[in-house]
Amino acid sequence: MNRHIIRMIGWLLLALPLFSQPVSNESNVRIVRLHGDVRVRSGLDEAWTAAGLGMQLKPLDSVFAGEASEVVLVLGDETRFVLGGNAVLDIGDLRRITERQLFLFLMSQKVGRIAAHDSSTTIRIANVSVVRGSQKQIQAEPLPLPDAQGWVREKNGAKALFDAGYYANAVVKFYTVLRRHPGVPDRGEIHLYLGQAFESLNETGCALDAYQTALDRVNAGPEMPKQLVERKAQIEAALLRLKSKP
Amino acid sequence: MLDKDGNNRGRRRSRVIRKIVPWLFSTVWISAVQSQGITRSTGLGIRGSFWKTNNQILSIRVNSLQTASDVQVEGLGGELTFFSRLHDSWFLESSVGSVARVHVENTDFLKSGTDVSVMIPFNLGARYDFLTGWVRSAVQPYVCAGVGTYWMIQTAVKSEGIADALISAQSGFKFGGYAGFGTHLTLASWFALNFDARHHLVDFSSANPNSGFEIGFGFCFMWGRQREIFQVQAVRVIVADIYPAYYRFYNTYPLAMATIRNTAEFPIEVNLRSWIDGVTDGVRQSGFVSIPKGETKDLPVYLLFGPGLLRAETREPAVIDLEIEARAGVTLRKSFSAQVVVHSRNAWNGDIDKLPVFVTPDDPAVQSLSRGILKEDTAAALSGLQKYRHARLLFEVLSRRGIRYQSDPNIPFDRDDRVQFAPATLSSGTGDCDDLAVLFASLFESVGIPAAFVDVKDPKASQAHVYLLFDTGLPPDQGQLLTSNEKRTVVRENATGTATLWIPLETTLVQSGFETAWKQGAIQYTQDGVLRQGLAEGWVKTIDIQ
Repeated sequence: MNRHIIRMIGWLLLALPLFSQPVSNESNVRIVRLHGDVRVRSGLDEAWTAAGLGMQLKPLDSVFAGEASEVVLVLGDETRFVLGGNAVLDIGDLRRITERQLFLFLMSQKVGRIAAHDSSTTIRIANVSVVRGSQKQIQAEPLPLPDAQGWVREKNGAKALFDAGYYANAVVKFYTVLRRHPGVPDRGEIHLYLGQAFESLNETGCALDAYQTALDRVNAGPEMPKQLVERKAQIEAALLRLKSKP
Repeated sequence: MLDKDGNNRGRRRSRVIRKIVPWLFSTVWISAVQSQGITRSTGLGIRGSFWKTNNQILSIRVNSLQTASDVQVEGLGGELTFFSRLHDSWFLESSVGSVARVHVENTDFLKSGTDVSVMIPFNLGARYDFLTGWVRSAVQPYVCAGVGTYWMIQTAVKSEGIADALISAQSGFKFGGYAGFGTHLTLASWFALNFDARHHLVDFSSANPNSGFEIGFGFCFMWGRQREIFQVQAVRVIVADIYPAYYRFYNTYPLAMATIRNTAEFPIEVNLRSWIDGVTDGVRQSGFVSIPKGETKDLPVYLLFGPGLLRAETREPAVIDLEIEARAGVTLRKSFSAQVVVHSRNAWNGDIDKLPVFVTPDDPAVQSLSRGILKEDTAAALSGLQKYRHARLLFEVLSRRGIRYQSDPNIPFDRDDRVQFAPATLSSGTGDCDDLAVLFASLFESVGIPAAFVDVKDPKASQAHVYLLFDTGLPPDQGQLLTSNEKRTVVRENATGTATLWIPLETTLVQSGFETAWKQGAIQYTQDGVLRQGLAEGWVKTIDIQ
């Protein structure tokens, strides 16, 4: 009888790998702790649902933590990631980004801004000077104001990546935020974070560009509250530090 | 002096001369200008010659008395010449001529004497045209030299009475040589006037009685190959496969390259004439291009295609005919041909940059359908969501009409992809990914909705795939009007450089409806383009239609 039980346990142990989850990037992010208003959105669905402990998340999923809320995620390599209050993050934002991939991403951002038809280099003799009625719509009603909280949540998600030391991921995320919200009124905060992320990645040139843009944005508005004065000082110190680097 | 009609002969003669001479001069001058001295390889000529040797000089003497006469003609002769090009400006020449002295004397009615001395030179030599390659001129001077035999014949007939005559004859051969110069005046590529002057050394001795100078005037007829002024070093076919759908592209892109070298010592002008029998809309000419002397130029070969090329139903071999003509006074031509393949009208080589040529937003069937559908849109026309709504409506209507996915046929030995034009897809009701992407791109573009193809060549998969993006026209920060999930939209610059929101559509899911097609398109774009870095690494490409 004991021999029979031992044999069964042995077979079960041998069969155990069949029941375990494969180690892959697809499903090795799970929620290990949550507090407050934490929601998840599956893939490209519209609706958010309440998150639960132990929930497995895929790269296309997203997680949201409301004000005064927090969620702790465990990644495939058992590292922990904390997402703080009023932040949203795509699980795909936690993917490993190599130096080469970051370089390609930054280049694609620059190339993507080149107009498809550069009229200054092509001589085109058209039959008409302007095509009437195309690409022009008269708005009967003005478009609603953009969602003011949307970019804040995404920015906070990017900041969470920065705080966790995922500098390359933070750079990609910040650029995505800027692309989706070109008129974001952050007064240089995002570019300050970009500068710090680039500096951590030893990308001095990119860091200088980001800090300079941050400074320009800080100086852009008429008012300069105390927070901005501190930010300005921080940026100027960073610029000085980078420029004096050998 | 008056003629039989009482007209002054001298005045009439001068009138004739005044009419003929200018005409003759013009003919000679115009011909000389046109011929430009490109000597042909072989020629045969005749020359009248005048000699001055040690024992005779050109003279004609006539003494005539009542019962006696003395006529002597000497120094006149003629020559038949033949030449053939050895290499470039060198010619081999041979000639046979004669020069004679004739003396006829009559002292009275019964006594007479006739002396005839004839020298017949047979010569073989070489001639060098020393200006042929340097100047384009009808005047082609040359130098010549050679050797040969000189045949002397002397005959004498003396008559003392009616039945009393003494005849003597002697002949002999001497070797000798000659050297001289001359010039051709080329009036046409086959005819030239000739002036020649040479010194003969009979028996290689200037003291020989028959040695002396000869001056000749004549003409020659020429035939054979003209001296080459250009070489075609290579004809390279750049586009060996012609896809009818790209015909507009080919009219501005060279299909072959001809490398031509100017071998003359003066600039030439070259024109390329190219066509494909039964395929092109006529002969395409490059126009004359100047090539400096000694230089080589690559000249592009274009063909003239028209919409008729779209009639090609199957893949067929074809031949590019190329005629290269060079002019330097005269025009010389050379012909070449090269083989290409003309594919069928629906053939596509898989180059995503070329897929937009299949999009036909101005096709009457496409416009009729799209505008007919949108006419039924009763929602407010003036709205920032109009493009999105119109695109959605077009997609849903075609979905309800039963447009379905169907893969391409397997055609033996034909490795081209096939793309249907929108009317064919509407007619058949089916198509594969590129057919359906082209169909919806045509419909969207026909109502002013910009579209773009997304081409995916996944390095981990064996097949490529294409789907669609369309521009909603909304600014990036207005995404919440479309969806709360920002991964469902793509921020990209449109043709004017403005960043707007685009929606990915997996067109092969047309039968499942717009929402499903949108969601699947967005999943693919996010997974392949963003998370797997396909866009950055280049295996995911987006190509604007316009």
